[in-house]
Parts: sequence; C-alpha cells; structure tokens
Amino acid sequence: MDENGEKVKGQKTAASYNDEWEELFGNKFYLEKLRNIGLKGQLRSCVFRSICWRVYLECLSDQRSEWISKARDLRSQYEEIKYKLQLKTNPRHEELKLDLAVNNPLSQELESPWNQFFQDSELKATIKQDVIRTFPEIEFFHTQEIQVMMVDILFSYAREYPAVSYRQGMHELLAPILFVLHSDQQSFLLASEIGYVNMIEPCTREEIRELLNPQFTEHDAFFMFYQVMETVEAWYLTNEDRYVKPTDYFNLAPFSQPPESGPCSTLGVKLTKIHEQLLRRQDPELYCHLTKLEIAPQIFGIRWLRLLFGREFPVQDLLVIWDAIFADSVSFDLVDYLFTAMLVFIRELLLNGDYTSSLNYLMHYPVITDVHCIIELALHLREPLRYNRPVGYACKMLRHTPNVRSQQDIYQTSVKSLSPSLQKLHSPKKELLSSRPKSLVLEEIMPTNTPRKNEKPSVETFNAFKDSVDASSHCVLEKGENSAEKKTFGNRASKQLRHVRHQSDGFAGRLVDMSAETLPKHSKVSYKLDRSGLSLSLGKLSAEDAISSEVMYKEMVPLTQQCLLGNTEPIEYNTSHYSSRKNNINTDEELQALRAQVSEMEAMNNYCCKRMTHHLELLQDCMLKQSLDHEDEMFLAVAGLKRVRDILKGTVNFAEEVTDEEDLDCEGPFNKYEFQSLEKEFKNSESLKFKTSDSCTTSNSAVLINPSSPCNRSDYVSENQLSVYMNSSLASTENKFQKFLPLILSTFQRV
Amino acid sequence: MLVLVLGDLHIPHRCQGLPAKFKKLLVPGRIHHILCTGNLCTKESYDYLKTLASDVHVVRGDFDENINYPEQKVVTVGQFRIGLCHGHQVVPWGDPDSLALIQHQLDVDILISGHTHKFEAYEHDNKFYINPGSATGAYNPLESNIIPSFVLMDIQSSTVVTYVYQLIGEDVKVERIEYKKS
Repeated sequence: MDENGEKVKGQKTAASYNDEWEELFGNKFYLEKLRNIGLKGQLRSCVFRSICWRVYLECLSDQRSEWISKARDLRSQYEEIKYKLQLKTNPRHEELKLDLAVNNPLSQELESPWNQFFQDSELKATIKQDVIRTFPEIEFFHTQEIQVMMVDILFSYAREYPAVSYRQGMHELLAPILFVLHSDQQSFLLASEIGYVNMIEPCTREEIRELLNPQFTEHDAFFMFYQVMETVEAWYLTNEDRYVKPTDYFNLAPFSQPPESGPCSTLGVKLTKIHEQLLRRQDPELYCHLTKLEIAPQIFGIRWLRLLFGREFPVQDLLVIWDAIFADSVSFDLVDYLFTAMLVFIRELLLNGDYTSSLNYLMHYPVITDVHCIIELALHLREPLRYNRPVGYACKMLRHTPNVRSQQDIYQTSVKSLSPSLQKLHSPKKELLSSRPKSLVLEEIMPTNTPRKNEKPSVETFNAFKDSVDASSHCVLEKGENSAEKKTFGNRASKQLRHVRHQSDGFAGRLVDMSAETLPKHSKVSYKLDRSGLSLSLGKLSAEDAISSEVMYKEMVPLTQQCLLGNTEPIEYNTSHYSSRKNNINTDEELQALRAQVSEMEAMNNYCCKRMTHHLELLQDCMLKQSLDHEDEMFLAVAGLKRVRDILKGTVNFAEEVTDEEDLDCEGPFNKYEFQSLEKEFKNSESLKFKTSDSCTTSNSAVLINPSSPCNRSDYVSENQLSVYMNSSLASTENKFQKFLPLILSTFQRV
Repeated sequence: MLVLVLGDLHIPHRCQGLPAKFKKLLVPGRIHHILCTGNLCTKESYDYLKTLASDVHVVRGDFDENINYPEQKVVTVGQFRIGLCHGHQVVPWGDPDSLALIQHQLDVDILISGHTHKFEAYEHDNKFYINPGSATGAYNPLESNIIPSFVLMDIQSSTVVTYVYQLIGEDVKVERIEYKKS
C-alpha cells in the first residue's frame, strides 16, 4: 500500500507538487480552507497530509512563519524527555550515588531505581508485544526500525504521563500517524530527487525540507500522538471505583431499564450518551432493535472509539476518516456523529439480522465503498441545516444485496410497464417522496391527515421501494381502520407506538410500562385473529375454486420455503426482527408461526403476480397480432387486468384503486390520530396480505383459464369466437375480483 | 543480566528454610539465571529455586539426594565463562591455590564454589572467585555461627557487578564488588 501511494504521488508533475502546497497553505487565511478540505476528504492523495494533520492537531501554530520554530521547539522537548528517561531508567548509571541498601537489584524499596527498571522493562515488553502485531498486512510496520521507534514513542508517552501509561490500542493510534509522516517524507525525497521541488521558492523549500526531515519522524510523531491522546486518553481510563448512580446517569426516561451498575468509565458514559441520545433521535427503529437484542453500545463501541475506528476501515479509508475527525476540531467532536452515521449506514443489515449476525456486523464492520458518504452523513446528523444529507446515500447503504436487488428490479420493470394513466397515478407519490422535509418529525405530519402521517421519522432513510410499499399498505390499513381499532396490535406495533408517543409528548416511560404489560395478551389474541382470518379466506377459496387452489398450494410449497429461508422483502423487516425475548416463549412461537404465514402469503402473492404478468403479455401479443372487432374494449379489459396485477404487486395504491372503481363498504374518513395506524401497522400489513393474496388467487385462477384460450385455441378458433371468449373471460375475472373483494373485506371486519 | 548464586541450603537437615528477609528479596521475574553450588539436599529446595527463575544450574554437593547433578559445570553468560563446583572435592577446603587448579582445568573467567559456608569474593591472577556462603546460614563441621549470605551478579558485557547479601543480626547488608574482564 505504501508503495502504491508513492507511485501515485510519484506520478505527480513538478507543477502539481508546488501547486498543492500553494493550494493548501498559500493563502494567508489558509486554516479555514484547510479544515474544509479535510472534511471533504480531499486529502486522500495529498503529499502534505502529515503537515495538514500537524496543523489540525495544533502541533504547528496557526501562523505559518512560526512553523519552523515551533517544530524545532517540540523536537528539542522530545530529546529532553528521552534523555531524562534514559537517565532515570538505567540503574547502572554512574551519576546515581545511592545507598546500596536501596540501589541493588533485589531491592523492594519504592524509590529504588531498580524497581523502576523492572517495571519499565515489563512495560516495554508489553508495548513490544503489541507493536509487532500492528497492521500485519502492511509491510511498513514490519521493519525493525519502525517497531523500535513505536516502542520508544509509546514508552516515552507512558512514562511521561503515568496516569494514562500504556494501554492496548494506543499503538494503533500511533501507527497511522507514523505511516502518514513516513509517506510524506518519502514523496518529498522522491520529488527532490527528480527535481520537482525546484519549482518551489527556496525558502519554502527549506521549510518543507525541515518539516519533513526523516531524522525527526519520531519526535514529530510523538507530539502528534500526544495531541491525539490528549483527547482520547479519557476513553482509555477506567475508573474502577467510581460507581455512577442511576439518578445522575443522564436524564433517562422514567421506568426505563436502569443502567447496569458496575464500573463506569468516561467512555461508557459517552457511548451510552451516543446510544441514548443521538441514535435514539436519529434512528429510533435501529435504536429499538439494538436495545431489544440487548446489544449494548459498549460491546462494539469501546473498540470503535478507542482506536478511532482504526479496525473498521481499510487504512486508506481510515486516513480519510481521520482527516475529517482532525480537521473538524482537536476535541474530536465529530466522532460521536461518525459513530451514529456508521450505525445508520448498516441499519438494513442490522435490522434484518438476529443477535449473532448483528453483532457480527458490528464487530466486523462491512467494507464501505464510499467513506465520504459516512462523513457527510455524520456532518449532516450534527448540523442538518448547514450540511445537506448526502445525495443518494440510501443506495450506498449496505443491505442484503441479492434478494433486494431482484425486488428492486421487479419494481423498476413494473414501473416501466405501467400504462400511462397508472404512471400518472404513481408520480405524485414520487414527488411526495422527494419533497419530504429533511427531518421528518411526527407532529409536522399529523395534521395533514395524509396516508403518510404515520410514517416514522426514520422512514426517510428508506429506499423508494419500501416507501411505496409502506404507503400502499398504510392506505389499505386506514380503510379498515375502524374495525382494526377494536382489534389488538402486535408486539412491534406497540413498540412503535412507544416511539411515536415518546417523540410527540416525551412520556415514553409510561407507555413502555403499559406496552410491556399488555403485550403478551395482545399478541396472543392477534394471532388467533389471524388464524381465523386465514382459515376463513382459505375456506372461501376452496369453495370458489378448489382444484386450482390446491394446485397452487402445491406449487407454493417450495416457494414458501425459499421465502422463509432468505426473504428480505421490506415488509418482512417490519415483522421479523421484533422478537419479544422478555415476554413468554409462547408469544415468540406464535409470532414465528405468524411470520411463517405471512411469508407464505407473500410468496403466493409474488407468484401470482409473475404468472399474471406472463399471461397478460401473451394475451396482449395475440390481440395485437389480430385486428378484432371489439379491440378497444378488449384492450381496456387487459388494462384493467394489469391494474389488478399492479395492486397485487403493491405498486399501485390498493385503496385508491378500490375507491376509484367502486364504492366498497369501507369506513369513511378516519380522524382518530391516537390510533393512527402505527399501532396497527403490524396487524394490518398482514391483513393486507391476506386480502391481496385472496384476491390474487381468485384473479389468478381466472387468468389460469385465460391463457389456455387465446394461445392454444387461436389457431383454430375463429376470430369472432375468440373475441367472445376473451371478453367473457375478462369479464368474469373482473366480476370475480369485484365480487370477492367486498366479501373478504366484510369477513375481515366481522372478525 | 542478573544471575543469582547461592548454595549449601541443607534444608531440612540443618535448617528449616531460607531466612524470611531473604525470601522477601527473592521475587520471581527479576533473576534470569540461578547458579547453585549444591547441597540443596531435597527436591523441594530445587523446586523453590525453579519458581524464581526458569534457568537453574546445580552441581552436586556431598549431601544432595539427587545424585544425577554433575560434579562440575560450566555456564556461559554474556561474555563470561562461569565454572561451578561444590568444593568438598577441593582439598584443603576453600584453598585459593587448589581452586585455581580447577579454574585452570575448566578454563573459566569466574569460578564459583561453596562448601565452606563462608562468603568470599576475590580476584586472583586476573580471574574471579566467588563463594556465596550458605544462604540459610547452616552450620558446617567446624563452625556453628554462620552468617547467611548469597550473591547476585549483574553481568553487563565485560563487567560483572557482584552484590553480596548478608544477614547480619536482623538486617540485610549489601556489598558491591566490581570485576572487569581484561
């Protein structure tokens, strides 16, 4: 990696070397600009990165004229520290004229130099053990010279600041600093060999030469490391004897889980703060998920912070992250937001995973293609007004790739194949999406009384696909709201209710309590409800078309299994990861069964959609080939069928469709905000599936008859006969569909 | 490099164990090598030495249970060849000329011997001779008042700094003797 970096730098032309210097430090008020460059991650291939860092870390003063004197000053300071240490740590030194009773190798006296000597050699051994394992994948750190240097720096630091001393992990903070210093020195040497530096004015050239003098790598690195540690040292300290009482922990909500008692360090408090305040505000869903899984931020966060994310990114990316952290401020405020941004970035993976896989993602942070995105997101999280949310970062967010991609493909193709009218229908939704305010807070949306009002704030981070699916589900939900009101809501819904409430009025604690109490009962009831609803609809089905449903069921089985194994459809997210560990096991099992049913239904739904699309295309092709009498009506009918299919897919708003076409016996407008469907989302998103899958099976059964007609018979059946047949079959499909829908709806309401 | 030299413990026949003050000084982790002049007597004493340093060299004294220890041994530490011999074979006991013969025989820079239970360290003909005495202060056939003592050598390149620890009354007295290899 080192060599690569040099190669890239070596390719720079003479002019660019000079330009780069001028660009970075040429201006009299360079500092502000330099910070911006760092935050934007434009130092990736900079040959003066070490100097930038030294400016950020205040190892060089703001005034450029004082750079050299400051650097010299620091270097001589380090010389002094080292000399003093050498004198102190060597008990054999001539100058020490101490009493032999004290100054002998076996002396146990505290002031004995030998005592110190043995402690030091132990410390050195510990440091060395860690140092030789620093970044094993980078050649640079294998050389004896660098390792000795690292041990010396760390040892000097440990002795100079005994309160912190040396702790595991510090070597990984030092390593990148040395790396950057070294590569800058190398590129300067290279540049001066080739003669690039001749372009630079002599005095500036001497300045650079002095600043990048390889002789003083150790000195410069020591003070950069010291400045980093100045901020980070608090994270390394553990106060074993300081127990923090729950009351002065933070303003935790009443009735929430009391923080674990035990030794509490500054780092622990910081992590809890990030978790309880930042993450909870930015992404309540993820916060809830992690809390549910009992993954405390300390489990992974201690390493993240102590190493300044050193293990989470590959080295080149890490340097960019550090550019931003250092550039932002010497107190490293950005770290908290980076932490949150990193979590938000892999939210899809986390939400989708169980305890083990989530923890795995956190302990082995997945490779991010674009780290700038994380930095931008972190900046946005901190100052939403000043920094815009990074554009298109949602697509860069990590998720389960294979399945979701196929889902998206389906979605896109379906959008393409939509008839113009449907696209019109669809487009406002898109506008709605893009015009949504950046920080979507519940109160703002409530009064508008749109279907979207129950969207969670975190939903803004969802991709478009999920949005549309959610939206359509919400719409349907509201149709059946009154009936659903009386019904119970599932585990997750109540949890979400908690969030919503918390955000709107801040009385989370009461609700937490409430939901915890009411939970088991509710989920049991809801389960029963679902079972009955399912059997009802199945019964209807068999009455209508026993044979086809049976056939379909058989076809469904493998699909279902697939779904169960690897289904990542967004709706699945809603249900799958909210396992209620703390509640009794029964509820868990019931939930499992419910989930299985949901995915089964989903599989059926998807399958029907596919078949329907296929047959519709066949039908359309045949119709286009032949000029028929009642062509217009037939095309209209096909369009109608397509609409039905789109409803099944979820690309078209079911509720709108239904109200447009026929006034079904649905409830009127809904204005009960308290029961706004967040609570019922869980329940209803399932009920939606029952509805859609029911209708799907009916319409599909019709379609199953359909294709056999035009394709097989068109050869020998006359045009007239064909058109008559098709018309009738289309009509029957529509009829069945129209007839069936209210039926299901009414049965559902009755239940 | 710290080398502990001791011997003539005679535990449990003549003494119960090392003086408490010595035991306090001898902590694990500081000493690199142990050279023992013998008469540990029991395996337990040997095991105790093993806890102080992993590298323990012992020669056989006239009261050792373990007859597998060698009569003489040569150990190289840094630039020094160190000869080890209990000394009951040397007649007369502790005689400098007789010891010089063994030093010549073994061709060593430092010869360590015991048996007399009396600390001695001297340079003779540019070679260094050490007798660490008895670490427990066990009596010998001729003398019952023995000062417990042992020796610690700090070997740095061509210099040996010898620290002598003696328990006089209730106090540990430390002396320092330097020997340079020419």
